[in-house]
Amino acid sequence: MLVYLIRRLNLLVITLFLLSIVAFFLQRQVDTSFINSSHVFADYQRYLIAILSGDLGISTISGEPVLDEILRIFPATLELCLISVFIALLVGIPLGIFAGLSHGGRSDYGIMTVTLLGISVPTFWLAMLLIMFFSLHLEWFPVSGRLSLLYQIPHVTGFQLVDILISTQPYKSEALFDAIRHLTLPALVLATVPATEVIRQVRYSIGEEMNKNYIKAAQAKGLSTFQIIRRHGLRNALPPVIPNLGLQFGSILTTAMITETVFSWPGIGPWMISSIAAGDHSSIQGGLLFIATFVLLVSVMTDLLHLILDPLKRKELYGKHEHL
Amino acid sequence: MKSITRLFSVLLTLPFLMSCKQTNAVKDTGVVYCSRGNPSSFNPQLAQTESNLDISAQLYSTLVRIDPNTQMVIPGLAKSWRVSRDGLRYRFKLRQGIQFHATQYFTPSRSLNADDVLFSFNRILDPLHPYFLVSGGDYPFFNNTQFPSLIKAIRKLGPYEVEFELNHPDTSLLANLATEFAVVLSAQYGKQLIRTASPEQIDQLPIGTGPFKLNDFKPDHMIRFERHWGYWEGGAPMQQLVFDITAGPTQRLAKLITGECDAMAFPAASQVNMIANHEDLLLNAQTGSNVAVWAFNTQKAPFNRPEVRRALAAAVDRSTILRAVYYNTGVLANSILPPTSWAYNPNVDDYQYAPIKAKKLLQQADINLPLRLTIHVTSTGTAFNPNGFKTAEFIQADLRKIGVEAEIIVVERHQLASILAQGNYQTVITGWNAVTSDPDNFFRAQLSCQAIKNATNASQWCDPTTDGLIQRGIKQSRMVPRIRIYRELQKHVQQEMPLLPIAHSLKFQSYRKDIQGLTTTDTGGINFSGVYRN
Repeated sequence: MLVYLIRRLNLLVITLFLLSIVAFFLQRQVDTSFINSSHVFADYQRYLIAILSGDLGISTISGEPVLDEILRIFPATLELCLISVFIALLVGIPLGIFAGLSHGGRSDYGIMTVTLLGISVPTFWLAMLLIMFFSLHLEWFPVSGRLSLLYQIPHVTGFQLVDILISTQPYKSEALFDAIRHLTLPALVLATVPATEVIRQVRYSIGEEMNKNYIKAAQAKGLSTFQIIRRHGLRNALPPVIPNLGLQFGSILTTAMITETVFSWPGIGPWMISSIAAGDHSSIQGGLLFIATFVLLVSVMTDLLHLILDPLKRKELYGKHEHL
Repeated sequence: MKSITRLFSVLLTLPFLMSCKQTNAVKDTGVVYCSRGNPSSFNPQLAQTESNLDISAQLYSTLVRIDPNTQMVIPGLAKSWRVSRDGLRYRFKLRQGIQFHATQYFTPSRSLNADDVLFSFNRILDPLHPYFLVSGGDYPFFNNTQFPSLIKAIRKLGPYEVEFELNHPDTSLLANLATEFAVVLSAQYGKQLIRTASPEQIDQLPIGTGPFKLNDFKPDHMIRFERHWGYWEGGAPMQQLVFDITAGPTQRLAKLITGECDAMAFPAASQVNMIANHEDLLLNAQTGSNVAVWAFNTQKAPFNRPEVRRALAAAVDRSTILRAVYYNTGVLANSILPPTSWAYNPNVDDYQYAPIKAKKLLQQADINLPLRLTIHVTSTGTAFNPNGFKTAEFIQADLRKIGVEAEIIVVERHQLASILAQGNYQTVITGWNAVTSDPDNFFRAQLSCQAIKNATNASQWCDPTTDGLIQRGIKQSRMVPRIRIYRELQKHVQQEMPLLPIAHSLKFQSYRKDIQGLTTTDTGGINFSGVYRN
């Protein structure tokens, strides 16, 4: 376990190191003022020390340190992503089970068709469609932003829902409801792709699991299908889904940036786009580095989570280790 | 597992439960306006005449105002004024007890008095004023209306009385003082900022006497205003006013439909139909103080001959332009003055569309057909013409019918100014967006000899009769004779036809049905002081 952890962290450090080299040379390309000495190594050393101490440069648009800006903006993106993953699990797991149980049946076909649609529909188009129908036609949800501008919620954690809950404003519940209304459409759009992924995964692993002998034994004991799934099926079928979600996080983040732009969600997406439009190199570099680091960290953490939750995986590790 | 399921279901129903009980206290006491862009500063004195001044009426008050219904000058910060017999002295008596905003950055210790008026206007006029050069020292509106050369001195006659002394009589002074540009700042705040050595703050963190005070500004995102309790006309009904800065008209309309905004700035001409048909939205249209024209360069042959100009004007079918370019969001112009102006002459003949007569007139004038001419036009839409290029194309097609071959030359807006200054063109499609409601602003800027130098006289028109009437109009302080002068002027201009007025573009305001008491000015200002929710 410890060896695995070290190996994983080692890989993380090496990847980050490579990333920093790429980012460094990119920055050297665009920013000539960046080159101070003739030695590339000396430059790189200074660069590395700077980014390790959290100095990603100063944004040319706002004049603020880039890291401060990212830390202020990123929670908005993270909040959206987390809620979408939550929705994806909430919808994906039951549908996946359902499809997996009726493998080859009508409802399986139905669910898989919808899933296929979900993967193939372009995000921004789906977002526009939902805006057209739910916002402009039915007028249920707002088209943009995180919260009505009339509410003044102090920025503490950057997570809107948390900030509202810990605020002392008398209109807390009103603001919370408004925030949830703002969150609904972008979160649904963003949840589409991970939800389809979860459905496919769960369907596959439930299908696998249900054919195993211990399930048959349970059936023979007279347990109902629901009981079998709850006690045996899910416990064994769900853990493999976790590392996959971690791997998916990068693509979720990318989709989030598109979704944010469509819904004017004040997250990292519109921020990066305006940085690119304004030619703010330090912001682009800083954003790039930050997002890449974050995605790497998440993938390592989901790996570890998988390790903790799935005894089989642990066994596998030791097994391999013994062979070495 | 069970407990998790339970938690989920509780979480999911929570917002809906809350929605049943909650009251919309915040929504009821606040209003959101979808504005178009960041203000260039929070001091309207510095504003470009073209920029939108939607912050001005919220933050500041002016000495006098224009009644939106009668277009007459009515009291503002000044409760009354007197004009001397020779028209050279304007004495204003100020209201007493008018409170400035108290904010985190400034706490006033006295109410408004004559010092504040002097401070505000001397900043524009006096190059030695400590604030003259702060923020660049450029006051476009006041320069355009020749304010510095008009004012000889501003004097304090008492704590609540000031006198403006003029170099020559000019009855448009009051209309200029009534614009959103001529705001009154706090002299005390000015002094405080000099002490703290941050004078430029006066234009960024505003202190005024308007119905709202600034609370927060996030560029490209929003401006938050808070009610000013001490507002001299009584506190505004709304506690909060937020400008949601939204650059795209489509986005603004979407936010208006979903109720994220209660009112929106500048609906596009193509959106007007949809807004009018939407059951939750109201559309308010008024004739703007503007005119779109097709101007002839009267210094160049054959456009120096009135019969040629009249013939070309008669060939243009303006109603088609109104339909196809303006989507009927404008009215046909019979004069360069909009029909809402008090000086408008209703007896001037309508411009006739008569292509056959036009061709005959050209032949009578011994013009060899086909006549070739050029039409200059800007590539971008303007406040007075949604699409100049399309307008030019329609005129081109109309002219072809009478044997005139027109070539359209598209230029950038800044290029057009230099082309007009050099006078090197034949005809041009342009217009005028008036900054004050005074008729003088239309005629002086477009048809006086002086305006050729300022590159606003697109016809290069310099005619003693026209200039004489313009001068007489500004010197006459009595209303009835003044109206007579402008009526004569309009008749004269129509006869000479240095330009063909095309249309007056309508100004739209669009807001949700539950919003009441929103007022707008025909120079583009918007005022939220009386807004409440029904």
